[in-house]
Amino acid sequence: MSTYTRRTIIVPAAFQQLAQALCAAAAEGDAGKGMLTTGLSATGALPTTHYISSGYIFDDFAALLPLTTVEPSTEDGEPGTVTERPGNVPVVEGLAAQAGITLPPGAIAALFDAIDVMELGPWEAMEWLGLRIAQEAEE
Amino acid sequence: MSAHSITSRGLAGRKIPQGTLTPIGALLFAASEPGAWYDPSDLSTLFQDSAGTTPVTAVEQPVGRMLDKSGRGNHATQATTTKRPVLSRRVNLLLATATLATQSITTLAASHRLTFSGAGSITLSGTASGVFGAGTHTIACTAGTLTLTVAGAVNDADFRLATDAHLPYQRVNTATDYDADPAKFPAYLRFDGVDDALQTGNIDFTSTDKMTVWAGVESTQTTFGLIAEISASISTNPSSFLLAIRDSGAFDSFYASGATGQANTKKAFSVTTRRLTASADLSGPTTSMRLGGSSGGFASTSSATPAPGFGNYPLYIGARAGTSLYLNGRLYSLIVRGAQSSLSQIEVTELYIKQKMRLP
Repeated sequence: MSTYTRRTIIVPAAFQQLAQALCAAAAEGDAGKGMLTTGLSATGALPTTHYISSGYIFDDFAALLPLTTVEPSTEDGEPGTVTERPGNVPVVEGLAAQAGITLPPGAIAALFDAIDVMELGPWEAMEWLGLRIAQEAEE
Repeated sequence: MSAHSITSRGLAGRKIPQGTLTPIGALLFAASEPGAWYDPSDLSTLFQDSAGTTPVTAVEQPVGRMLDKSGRGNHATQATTTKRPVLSRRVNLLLATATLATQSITTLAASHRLTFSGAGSITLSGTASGVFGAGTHTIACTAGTLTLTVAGAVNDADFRLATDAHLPYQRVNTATDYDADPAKFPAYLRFDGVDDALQTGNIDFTSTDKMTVWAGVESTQTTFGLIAEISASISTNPSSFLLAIRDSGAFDSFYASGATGQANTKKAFSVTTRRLTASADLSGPTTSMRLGGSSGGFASTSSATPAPGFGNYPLYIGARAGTSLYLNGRLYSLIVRGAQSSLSQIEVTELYIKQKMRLP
């Protein structure tokens, strides 16, 4: 039985397609398809600068990704404590190769440097990074 | 335990009847009406995965498949794990509430209620401010991060939306370990407003030009949030419908598209907890809505031309086509019935949803 971990993943727009392809390759079945489709920007207006996915992912998938942990300060006005755990570049490079995704050297490392993977919920993560959902026209 | 002691312990909410007093299935779906009935409080209908192999066994688990209780087989699913809503009964936003320590939480732009006991105090900063002693306090928050700085002993602390004020104290240890007693706290699907959504396969509504939709929703979002829509977009698909909150930032709305054009009914609300009933008749075409058992004050317009029936489309829940106009809030109940419903059917179903939401 699969178990899940909650993560919020935010990627720069330039890495959207690569991240989508890797998510689809890494997860079982269709579980990783269709991720990172919600656009973000600093003002909430287009153009989209980042894309977000937030929710449960498989534990083994979460273990491959980098992780930024934010511990809020208990002192009012003080910044929180941030810790970074690196992602597993060699294993993800292997997954990409298995999925037939051809990448230049260093592409996964560059992707992991550029993305933010957090335990925070989506709205907390967006606030932390200064991003808002880029709204489309309504009905 | 006597009735007096129940009341004195603040557990009066237990007296709200929770059983399905009216057989909703028989009331709404006994005559082969097409539709769907979703009940997040019924664990037997919830699965973590879209294939339906891993049941939901506890709160704060993802819901990848929600069975249709109407008997029509219109189960709602989500294949992508990050897009699955979460089953919850959480109302208290704090952690480790028995003996509270300083912590930060995310608040919505809404009125909240803070209660606690003990000789200590709580200083609020961020989205609200002030210093508070033991007791019950109403706190107006903006959206963002609120820090609660604790001094001294603060016990049994509870910080929640004011709209949940009628529910009893909720002990919270961790985000997944809290008092989830079904007799005290209503079950809901939490849609994150970012990417969560469910959808069914095609539902064939072509045999009817009448539609009734009931939904129990809690949300403070100020932008368009889609509760339910048949077809990928009412804008491009004739003979479909859309139920949404905060259309144009202000209106709760129900749209139905005819062969051409649209009919809609809308009203601006200040409430965040909604029991919405919407009806459509494509022979007009006309639409109507009710809020919490009342039909007053709605504005209806129609530029639609008649259609012989609704379409054969998927039902999308929580987002347009699963990809935009996301709902940020709680869904307690959703019933879609492809038929004209009598006033008694509407009122009984509204009462059923009120019970599901444990509203006073």
